[in-house]
Amino acid sequence: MFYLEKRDKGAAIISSEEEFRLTGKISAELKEWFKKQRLDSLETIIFDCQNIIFIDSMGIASIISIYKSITSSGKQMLLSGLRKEVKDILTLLKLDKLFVMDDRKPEEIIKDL
Amino acid sequence: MGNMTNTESYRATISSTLDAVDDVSAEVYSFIAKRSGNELAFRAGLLVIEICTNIVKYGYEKSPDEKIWVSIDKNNSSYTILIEDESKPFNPLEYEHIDLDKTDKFERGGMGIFLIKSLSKDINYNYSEGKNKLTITI
Repeated sequence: MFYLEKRDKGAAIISSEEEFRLTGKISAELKEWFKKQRLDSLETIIFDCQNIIFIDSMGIASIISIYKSITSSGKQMLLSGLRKEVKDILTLLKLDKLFVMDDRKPEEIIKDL
Repeated sequence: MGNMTNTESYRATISSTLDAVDDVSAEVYSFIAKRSGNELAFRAGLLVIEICTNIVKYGYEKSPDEKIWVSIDKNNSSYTILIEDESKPFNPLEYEHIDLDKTDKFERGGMGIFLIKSLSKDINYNYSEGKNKLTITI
């Protein structure tokens, strides 16, 4: 369901082909999937969130977990393409202070790295 | 799963599993999105999933044979959500939520209670007839 696509400039994009609800079971699957990814040569990971149509606290916790894993190894992570309702919930939780949220498409972000 | 008894009400009885909770949350989202748009629908779906997840995890302690009842009634531009269960008395409003300045501790829990309190216009808990009853207005 999830893909890690490596690009130029040490960047990679996490995405999903289909719209999905980031809740209980999918959150656990995302965390497990992420643990299997090799990020050695990467500097920037962009989580393309455009297909997240709904999120709950377990989904948010899974993104925090991935964010911590990425940033603790000196890499940066950005969230792109967040839908308004999802972004509003993250902002309500003041997670806009933790995450870098960028409204641009991943390709445009990579161009400016 | 759910029953739309008339165009302004939604009723569902679900088993105490996280999959059933996710399904009813999606149905509530769909029910409200058609009538009042995505923003309110998102809020209702999130309230339902957070409250019912707490019931599954802490009320029924993941016993899948138990039941949760979800009712939604539209009143002009607002909605009343009633969620009932037969687990031990549990008032989520008495529990502390997260400290928003300590995002590094969010993974440990507490986000759900914060969201329930923050997204409700009005929220009331009572325990009667052997049931926890949480009534929310959005």
